[in-house]
Amino acid sequence: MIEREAKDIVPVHDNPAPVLSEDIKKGYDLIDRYIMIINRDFRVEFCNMKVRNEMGDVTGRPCYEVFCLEISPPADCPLKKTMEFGSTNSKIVMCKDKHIHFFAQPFSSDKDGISLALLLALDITEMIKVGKKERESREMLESLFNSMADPVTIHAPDYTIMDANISALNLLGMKKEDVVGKKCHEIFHQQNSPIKRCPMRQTLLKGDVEKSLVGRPDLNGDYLVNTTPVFDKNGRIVRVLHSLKDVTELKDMERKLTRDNERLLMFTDLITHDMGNYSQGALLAIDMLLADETLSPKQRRYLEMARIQMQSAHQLLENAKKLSRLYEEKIEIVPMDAGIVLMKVISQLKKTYASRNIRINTEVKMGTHTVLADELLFDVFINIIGNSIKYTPSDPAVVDVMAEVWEDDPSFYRFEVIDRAGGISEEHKKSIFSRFERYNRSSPGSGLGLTLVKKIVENYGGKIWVEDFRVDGEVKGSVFVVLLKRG
Amino acid sequence: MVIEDDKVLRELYSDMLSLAGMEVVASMASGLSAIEFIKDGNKVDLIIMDYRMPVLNGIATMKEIRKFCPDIPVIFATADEVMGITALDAGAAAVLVKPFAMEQLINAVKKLKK
Repeated sequence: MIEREAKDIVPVHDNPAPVLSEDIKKGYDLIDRYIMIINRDFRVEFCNMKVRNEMGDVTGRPCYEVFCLEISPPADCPLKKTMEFGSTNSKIVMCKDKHIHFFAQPFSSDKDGISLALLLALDITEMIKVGKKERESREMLESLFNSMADPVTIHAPDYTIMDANISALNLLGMKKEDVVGKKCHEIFHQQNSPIKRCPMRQTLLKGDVEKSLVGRPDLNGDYLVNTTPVFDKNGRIVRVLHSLKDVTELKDMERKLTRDNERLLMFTDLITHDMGNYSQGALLAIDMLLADETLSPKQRRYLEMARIQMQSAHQLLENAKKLSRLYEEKIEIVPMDAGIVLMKVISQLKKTYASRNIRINTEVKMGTHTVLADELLFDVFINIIGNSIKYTPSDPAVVDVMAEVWEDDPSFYRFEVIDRAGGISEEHKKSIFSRFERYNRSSPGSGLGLTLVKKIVENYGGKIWVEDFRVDGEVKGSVFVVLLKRG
Repeated sequence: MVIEDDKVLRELYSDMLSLAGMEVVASMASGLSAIEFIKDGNKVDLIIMDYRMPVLNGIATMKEIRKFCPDIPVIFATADEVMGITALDAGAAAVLVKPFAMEQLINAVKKLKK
């Protein structure tokens, strides 16, 4: 150990009498870094509090033993260079399991050169670990960025492209160096300024995610472009992330569907209007013939048959038209008096089946049952009750219409239409509400009536199904159950 | 007067109304020719009108005719129920939804003639 008397130390070359005073030692003790004064024999002259606390008092020991676990100074020892050349040197050294950054600088000198050197050591193990993690994270993000199937680009607020993933480069057919640093409108749209539909412009204005469909001629295909702002801690937009979803196939399909739908609408319109006129003409012509009182019973019967067939054809078209509307248009359901609707249905059915003996019994009267529906509720009841009459083979055709609050969910009414038409087989029960299904092809019917009914009921948020009507265990007919929300 | 672009229906309406003892003074294939007929000062008691016709539809035709004969009753014959409601809102006296029976047409005309 070398003792010095001078109070102040100036760590520069040629300092005549540098001494490590007690004040300076106390000052070094307050510093949260490893500080040591090393003599020209590489022995520790002084170590501060941090060294003493963590490594013990290493005063007098060779620093290469303490820190480098070597028997002599390593070849690249920074202290060695400082002692030799009087220069400041630094080096990161692995000490045990730590990364230590050593800074060595001359502390004092005498006629033989540098006599003491100050060694400052920083433990940068954590820093290196964080740096490594950051590097790994960056590499991971880079890898994810490039493995994304959708083209993604990162833009500065001035529309400069900062980065582009591999998919984006493939889409553009360009290399990264040809894209990064250029304006996005130049690269993507070959324009000198942002295009009118540019979603990034909106993102910059609103500070929110924007979506825009950009297609030809701006891009070579149809893309759904999402622009997402990235904010700094002050809430300023520093980047805008662009992701492009290739929807070219979907858009092509949509265009085809639109064309097909237009054709279908034209076809439906032609059928409903022009066929309506033709059937009207045929029906009136038949009526004119039926007005002739000299017709034989057989002639009259044939004309009546022709009339029924024409009416059925027309009903089919009407049902198809209504079904088509139900699929296309939104309905508005309002509270409706089921009793009034049933009264109208019964009145209509009595006219339609004037030649038959029909009896429709119901407890549903005006003001007793309000349901959430619209004007198509008429079609629900007239189709179900009309079918029940139609398929009852012999008169009187008796149909009961019952209604009660549904036990399972009191927010619904359970309507039951009970007929004595002989019942429906289990197989047909499954398909009776399916399109174009009619359980007895020899019977008259539109073939779409129950499909229409099901669609209407479902649009009301209700349900429909069919059960057997049994008397003494024997199937006598069917019960059409309709659940409708109470209004 | 019958205004209907379908030739067969025009003929049938006329025959049926004649059969019921009424006279069809004019049977027009378009709204424009019907307006001209009314403009010329010809008098009619009632009109049976199709809705969908080329150039001028039934409602537009009715509105034009009403400028000369404000109170003339118009019966609309249409295959489209929705259009029927539109016609009633526009001031039609009655709507017959196609296909209707001869009896319905005659009853509607008789009712309005009273």
